[in-house]
Amino acid sequence: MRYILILFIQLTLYAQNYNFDEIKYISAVSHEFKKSGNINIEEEKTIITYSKPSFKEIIKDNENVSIKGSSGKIYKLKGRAKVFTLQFIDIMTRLGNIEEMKTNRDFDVKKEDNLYYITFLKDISNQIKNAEVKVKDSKVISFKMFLPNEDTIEIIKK
Amino acid sequence: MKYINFFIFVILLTLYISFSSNIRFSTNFLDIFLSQNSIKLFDIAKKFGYSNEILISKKGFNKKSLQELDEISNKLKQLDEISEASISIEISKDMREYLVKNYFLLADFNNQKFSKNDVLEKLKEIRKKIYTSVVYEPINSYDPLGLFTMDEADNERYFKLKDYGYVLKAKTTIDTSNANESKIVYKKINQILKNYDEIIAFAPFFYLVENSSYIKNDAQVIMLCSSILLLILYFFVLKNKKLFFNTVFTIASSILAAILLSSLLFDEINILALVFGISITTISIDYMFHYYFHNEFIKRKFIIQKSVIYGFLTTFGVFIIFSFIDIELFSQLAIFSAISLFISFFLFSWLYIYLDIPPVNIKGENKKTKSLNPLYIFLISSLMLIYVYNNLSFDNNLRNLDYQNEKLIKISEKFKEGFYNNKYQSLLISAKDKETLLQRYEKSALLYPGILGIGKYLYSLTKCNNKLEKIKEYNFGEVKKYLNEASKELEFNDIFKNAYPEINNLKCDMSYFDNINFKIIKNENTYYTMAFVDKKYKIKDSENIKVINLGKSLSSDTEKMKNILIKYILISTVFIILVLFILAKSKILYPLSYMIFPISSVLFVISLLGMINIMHIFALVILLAIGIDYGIYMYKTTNKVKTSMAIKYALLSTFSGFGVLIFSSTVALYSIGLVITVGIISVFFLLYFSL
Repeated sequence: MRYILILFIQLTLYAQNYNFDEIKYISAVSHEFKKSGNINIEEEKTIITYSKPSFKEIIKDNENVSIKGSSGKIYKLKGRAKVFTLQFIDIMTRLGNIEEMKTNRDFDVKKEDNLYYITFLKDISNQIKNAEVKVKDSKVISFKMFLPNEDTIEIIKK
Repeated sequence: MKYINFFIFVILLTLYISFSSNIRFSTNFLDIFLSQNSIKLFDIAKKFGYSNEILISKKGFNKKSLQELDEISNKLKQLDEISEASISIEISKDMREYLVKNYFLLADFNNQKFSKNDVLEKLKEIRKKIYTSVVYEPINSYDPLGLFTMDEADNERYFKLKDYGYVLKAKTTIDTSNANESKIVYKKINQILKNYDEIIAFAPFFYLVENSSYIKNDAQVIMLCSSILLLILYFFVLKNKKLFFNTVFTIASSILAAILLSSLLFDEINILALVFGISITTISIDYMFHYYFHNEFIKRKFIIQKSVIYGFLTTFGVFIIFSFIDIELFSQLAIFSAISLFISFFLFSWLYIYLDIPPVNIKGENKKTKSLNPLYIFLISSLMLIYVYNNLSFDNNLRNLDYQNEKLIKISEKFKEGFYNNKYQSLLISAKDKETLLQRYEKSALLYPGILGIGKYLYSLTKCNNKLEKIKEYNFGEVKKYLNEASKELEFNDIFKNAYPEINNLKCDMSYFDNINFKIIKNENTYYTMAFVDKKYKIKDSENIKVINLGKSLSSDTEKMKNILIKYILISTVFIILVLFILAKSKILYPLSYMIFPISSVLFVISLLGMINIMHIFALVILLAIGIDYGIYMYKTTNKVKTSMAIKYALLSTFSGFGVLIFSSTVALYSIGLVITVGIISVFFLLYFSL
């Protein structure tokens, strides 16, 4: 029984599932792109399913990333696109979890009221400069990532 | 006089203790088997630090694995012996700045011409991607046309072991050839890792720690067996404690004298020469048994037994011949053995008459024994040698002599395959100055595409100027103008205004710094760098480019060593035949059988079991020394029963001493044990037929 309990705790520690709105600002075209979806995080696999504006699924399985379109066709990401996507899924997983603010691996955390200011360290800082995480009742409700080229990506949990 | 043997031992022990600070023992086994050129080459290769790397991998490419490896990394960093530990392929700040500064020079340049329309189409493509792509990928505003590309592999975030998990790479500051230092770090690492599941770890020095610990345990069991057998032999079979203790003192005195005198002749005594020297010294027990069973000790005068003198002088002569060999280990071993055999021969012949050793009574002294014609033995031996000549091959892979640590070998293979290390061979490039060194690397890069090394990040001035010229020939001004126009037309903001920054002001001022990936080191006014080339290319060593392959060098140097050894064994054999001819004339086959039959039997058995290795050859030299003595004793004897009894006890003693090594699971020790045991059995066979 004890082992089943430990296993359950282990699974719930890594498992997360929530719906979200994504607001992506691309400075090159000064445009905001809005999407809605769901993220399901398990120990080995993470699936981001966008339902609006069109169906798209990003599947991260171990170190592989693939994209599934509405036609059901799947293609694997390679090179720069794969590396950036892996990085973002990792950061999304971590910023969405309040516990990560406490372990703060790879980043510095400063807290002001219900806002955590994250400064990324090491190589990640070349891809994501910093982030802001909004918290309510000890739960993350939204987070915004600031990129070096003035692009931003904001995830609002629903 | 009763205790003189003991006093001599005490005097020699006192001398040894007094001079022990001046006596140095070398434990460097590589020095034995590698030529001076190879040693120099590997010493330089060691400076690149690849042998100090520790690899740890946790199963799975998930968050938990990364977290655990991160924890381990932090714990490792707290150890004094660990200089760095990381899971991410993170480049240093210096290196990043260097790459940014020299990006356009280092990246592959595709000088494709772009028309105004081409640029417009390219930006349309980028715009479309922004609006349709589900994943986020920042626009490369510095090179929107993709004229410069660097390897995709550089984009990886973490070290990964294919089909297993992420990898933590750490480096130790210790001398990994030092067993004690390695053992301490090994224990500390395992102490950390024992709290984690599904973790594999490997470092080259793990072999040293694990194998030496296994061999030590193995040797302890063997030594225990050996001690029990010797005690049974002396205490229960011979029932002569006095003889046992005095023999031990005599052997110990001979060894101490040999160490003291050898230390005057050599700067360092190799531990392997010492171990084999001690083994050979125990052969002198033959002399003692021969005297004992012939009741020579009660005669109260310096013992002169012609057979023992001839036996001793022949063995002594063989070691004097071997002392001229151009392999330091063997010359040390030969001199050590010659000294210790001389001392023990002298002590057994002189001192034992004063020790009041009771005589031995052998029943059936005069009974007739059956006898076999030595010609038959010679014929059987010749047949076996013919078989051996056609079937026996030499195993020059020294790794086969070590304890076969299957678990570690498997982990090592996993890392090699997972990191594609199996795919590459290491090249050591040298030159008198850095510019020539880089030019040599660049020449190699043309010959061996896909080469990995310093040349990826640092160019010779010649190559850099050529690249610069190629870049400057390109009309970036025009491209930038088209970019600005297309950007406005497609309603991009001014993101591309900084495209190809400062490209017209590029200069060749790449200079080497410590944090650059791949190193250049200086050794005795020569610069060296290590490069990795696909194994499919066959590279011939030249003066300035050498393939670094420890296994291959050991094999070729061991092969050379084997040839020299065989040459000296042949010279010694000629010497022995000459001595035996002087002694036995036309009856030479009789004493010769005791040498030729054991050796051919051993070689025959080895050829049935597999290949002959360098340890077999080591042990054959010992067997040769034993065989000569027995041949002469049996030929010269006036009492076959007594002589045969003396030889049987000497053989049992030799088997108890190092024949028991046949029970070892360490191939090197087993090989010696096999040779001695088969040799002993074949001598017993000859004694049975009273040859």
